[in-house]
Amino acid sequence: MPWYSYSATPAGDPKPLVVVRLLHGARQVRLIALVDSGADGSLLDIGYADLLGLDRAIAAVHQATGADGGAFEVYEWPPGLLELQFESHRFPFRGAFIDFGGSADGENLMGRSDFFSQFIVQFWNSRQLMNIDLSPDFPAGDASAQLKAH
Amino acid sequence: MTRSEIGEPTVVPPSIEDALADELERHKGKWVAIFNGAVVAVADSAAEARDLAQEKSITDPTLFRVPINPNRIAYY
Repeated sequence: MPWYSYSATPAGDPKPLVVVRLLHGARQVRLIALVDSGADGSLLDIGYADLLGLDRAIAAVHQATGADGGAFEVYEWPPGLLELQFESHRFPFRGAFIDFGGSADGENLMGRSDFFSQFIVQFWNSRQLMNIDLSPDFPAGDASAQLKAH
Repeated sequence: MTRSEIGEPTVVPPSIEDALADELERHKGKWVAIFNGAVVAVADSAAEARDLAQEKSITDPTLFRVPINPNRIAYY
């Protein structure tokens, strides 16, 4: 895969953002997320879960800790319900959702539990570029096999 | 690997171009639907932004809530 330019952000420094697709059965949505090697797991605004028809009543609610040490609740649905797609590569979503509430003080993250398990990511910060290559562990188009294996 | 060995990379344009970032500045805290690098709908929920985009015959926009004060969040 080629290099990807960092994106401009509203009144901020350029960031390594990517467009990914979140899928729940036949429902799907395209979203923008920060490629964040410091995040153990992907973290998305719960608005996407609502949009895709996920029932909050069956979600497991866990306490998580932010980079600033603050605790917050995250919602997780059973494995196998959701997938992510970057470019043409689809893979299981293993992250969680957060209700940012009215503050909207956060952004979607692609973390190590799923995105970084699929791709080899290199940051070339001085050029504001990142290289995202498919990991040799996962042949393209193998999402169904991965879902069965987990 | 040295810079000369890497050569000039093939670069994919950014997900958010400068002009779009300037436009997003006006919609902090809102859900926006983006299509072809422009904001096509602004709403208070993802579903509402999607529906407004669909009214314009845009069936697959990128939906994004513009952070008011984006903080880096990592969790374990």
